[in-house]
Amino acid sequence: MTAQPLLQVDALAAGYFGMPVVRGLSLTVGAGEVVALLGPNGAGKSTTLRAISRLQPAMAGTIRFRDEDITSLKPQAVARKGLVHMSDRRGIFHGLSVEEHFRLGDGGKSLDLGTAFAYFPALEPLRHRRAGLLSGGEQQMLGLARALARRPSVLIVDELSLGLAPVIVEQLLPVVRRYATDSQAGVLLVEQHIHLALEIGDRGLVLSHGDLVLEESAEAMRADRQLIMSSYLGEGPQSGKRSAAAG
Amino acid sequence: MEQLLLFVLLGLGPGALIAGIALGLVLTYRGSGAINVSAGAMAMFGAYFYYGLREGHLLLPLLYPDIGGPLPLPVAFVVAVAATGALGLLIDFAVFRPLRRQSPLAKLVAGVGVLMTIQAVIVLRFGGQGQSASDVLDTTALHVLGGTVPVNRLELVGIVLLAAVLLAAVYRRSRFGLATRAAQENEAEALLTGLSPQKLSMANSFLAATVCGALGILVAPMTQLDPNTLTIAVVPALGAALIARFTSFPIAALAGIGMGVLRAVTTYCQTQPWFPTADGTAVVGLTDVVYFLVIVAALIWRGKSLPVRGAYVEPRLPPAPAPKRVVRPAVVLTGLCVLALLTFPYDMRQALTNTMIGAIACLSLVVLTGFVGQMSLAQYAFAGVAGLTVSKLAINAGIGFPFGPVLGVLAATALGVLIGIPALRVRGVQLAVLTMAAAVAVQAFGFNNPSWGAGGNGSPVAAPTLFGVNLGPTGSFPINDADQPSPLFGFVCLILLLAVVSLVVGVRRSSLGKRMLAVRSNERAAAAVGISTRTVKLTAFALSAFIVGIAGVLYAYNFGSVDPSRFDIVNTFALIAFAYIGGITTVKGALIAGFMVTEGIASHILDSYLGLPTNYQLLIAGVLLVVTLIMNGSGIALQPPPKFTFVRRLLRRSDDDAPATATTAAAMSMAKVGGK
Ligand SMILES: Nc1ncnc2c1ncn2[C@@H]1O[C@H](COP(=O)(O)OP(=O)(O)OP(=O)(O)O)[C@@H](O)[C@H]1O
Ligand SMILES: [Mg+2]
Repeated sequence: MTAQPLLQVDALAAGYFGMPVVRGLSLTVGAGEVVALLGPNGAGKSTTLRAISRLQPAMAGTIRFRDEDITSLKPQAVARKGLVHMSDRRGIFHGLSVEEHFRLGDGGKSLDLGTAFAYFPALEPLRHRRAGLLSGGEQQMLGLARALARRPSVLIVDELSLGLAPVIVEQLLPVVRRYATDSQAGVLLVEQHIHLALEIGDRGLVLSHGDLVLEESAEAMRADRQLIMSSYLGEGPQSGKRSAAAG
Repeated sequence: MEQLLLFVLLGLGPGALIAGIALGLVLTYRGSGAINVSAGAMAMFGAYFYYGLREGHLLLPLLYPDIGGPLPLPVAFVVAVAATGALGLLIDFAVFRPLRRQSPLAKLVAGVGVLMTIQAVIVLRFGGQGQSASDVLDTTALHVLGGTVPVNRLELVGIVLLAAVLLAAVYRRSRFGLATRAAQENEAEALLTGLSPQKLSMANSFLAATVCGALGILVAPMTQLDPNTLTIAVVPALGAALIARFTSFPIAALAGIGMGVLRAVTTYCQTQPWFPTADGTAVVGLTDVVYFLVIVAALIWRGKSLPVRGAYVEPRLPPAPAPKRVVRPAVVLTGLCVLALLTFPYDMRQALTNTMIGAIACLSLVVLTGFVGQMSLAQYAFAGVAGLTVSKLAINAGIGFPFGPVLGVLAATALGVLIGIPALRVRGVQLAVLTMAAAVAVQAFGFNNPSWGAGGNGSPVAAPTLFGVNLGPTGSFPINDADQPSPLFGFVCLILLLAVVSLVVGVRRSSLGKRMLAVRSNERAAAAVGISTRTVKLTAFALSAFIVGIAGVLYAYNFGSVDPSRFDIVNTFALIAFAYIGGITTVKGALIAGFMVTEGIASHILDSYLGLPTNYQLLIAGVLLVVTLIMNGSGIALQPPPKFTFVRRLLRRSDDDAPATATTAAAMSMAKVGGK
């Protein structure tokens, strides 16, 4: 871990209609680091990611990206700076062909189709097909290929595994790991497949009802399943103290 | 046959205009999700701007400065097209951008506001009469098929098709096109990609306006340069854009040209001996009926498959609270009206009468738009049918008061249901488009017909008499009847207004009202809980046409004749504007709107005593309509009242003391439902 994290979130609150869903959330992602953001359904994981990419306003707190306060920037500006958010809609457009996704570019620059196909050779024969006609797995590949081709310095990914067979998830997640290591980028990963995420991740965070209830190294969390279980099931106070102590 | 082909060639001119406007519609829709009914008005603006430059003037709102001599043709053309483009940018920035999270219907109604504003600017400068626009394209005659056709018709078609092909290529190939398609599909994802949907929307609006402006300039010499012709060309253009699913540029252009050819073929048929006649002359306005039918067919065929914009926020609807205190304000207002009718001078009496009729007309929109979220641009068409029925029944069948008016209102209701039937298949914006076409068709084919319509000088309406008493504006009354209108007619209007208010309040408080609001907020969800959305919508249409039919009958008696220009679609635009400004979701809003309607009390005072003519009022109304929509469309009626705390406490006291009855509690709970 480097001294200065690439992404630093401090005391973030975000929610809907004036009601916070996530409160006082602090987290960091360093260069070359993969952080898994875990938690039960409705915990506020997607909300956190949307607040980080500025798709929805932060109600409190600050978000710093590469030493710059981005809390009040527009989402498109944040995206152009190299903080790429691959949402649960996968960042693809059904009406555009595979190839067009790369010509669409990234705030002016065209994307390198070659790199994308290097990550996912399976996309190459599909280059002229409309994204809407791809299978779920192919769409996910396209979304990830495009996100990586944008060469983000921080990539935040919402449920890469959504609707996919575990076999395919096992193929996709290592790609993310490899990218983080090779490009010294930071990755914040929201996942439901806990064990898969912890296998490639460096650290794990567990969010429950909008509070960070556990923050541990991936190794420790893999070793002690009970730790995650209790944090998921909302046996919060104890683990809450733990995380407070850790933080 | 050769003659037919000749007509077709001549029809290519107007066809190119329709095609150009259709291209503009598609561009705006893809860029911002708005069906911009002011696209025709933009073409008209371009043509007038060009006309001004060629006359040596710069056309600005309310100003017309001299620029030291006419500009040469090519310069004037470029400047005028650029000016229209700038107008497009302005409208995108000031109207469609603030509305981007509102419902598509709100965007469409905003287009109505823009249309009104542009039209008012032009009318204030040039009046309603046409100008003779000078030719821009080559007018050399080609000798074909035993006749002559100016070569410019073919050039125009070439230009429009070229524009369509270019636009299609840009959308397919360029990054701008890809980005627009992406943003149209899903704005949030586009943002995450680093695209700026707002900038894309501006670029598309600019392109749309330039295309419309250019075609307006080029075609105006072949049609007519007046505030209406080019503006209303948006109706067939909407048809063409629908056929193209608001997506394909080449299809929109070809369909637009087809619409022009359709007009030419109808004109040709009018010259044929077999063509139906009325009063010895060929029937007019069939083209507009055909356009209407094309739009119905296109909606049924394409309506379901129109691309919807993937915006990431659910639009919020203005609240439609049930009225709580009704009796007291009603008694007070009625008292004031009676007093006013007995004491006001004749001009203010007339204005008050107009206000009451206008309020009835606005109430028809409260039911349809405020409660059910549907929009009809044909309200004055319904009113006109009612008025005309009264006139014709008296003239041709000797049926007078009270059977004539009853049948008139029923005729309006029947037409409302007829036009509402497609509502079972189409929704929201599309329905508004359909009613717009219907209004134009009823006007052109119905009202303008010299035989069954009111073509020429209007169709006379005899005063209503009951037991020998003249209830109309010409009747006599013991007090204050030195000049027309008779206070008695005012009382008739007042009674009907009270009846309609009770009807609307009753509907809002009934279970039907709840179902209406459910349909408004989410049709699918309403259907899922067992509400028959069809019945609700059709009922709303019938009720709305019924109410506006009453207004139509009263208008007919008020003016003593049915004049087509009184029931023009432009008047419906104004009615919608006033209804929204007042507050389209509440009865109170309709009453406020009644005060503002053209020649109503506020309007009359502004016009006659404060020197602000009605054309300026329409300009302001257009702007205020847009402002109201941007502020979530709740209108004046739902604004928090000014804080004259002391006065309000005085007025309120008795109510606060009264125990909460079961009915008020019910009304409150319904207000919550409505507020959602
Ligand atoms: N658009 C919205 N409007 C209102 N509330 C919302 C909205 N989106 C999410 N919520 C609420 O915010 C809370 C957190 O939602 P979020 O989507 O962040 O959860 P999540 O952790 O991503 O869950 P999942 O694992 O199911 O994706 C939930 O209670 C949800 O009901
Ligand atoms: Mg989620």
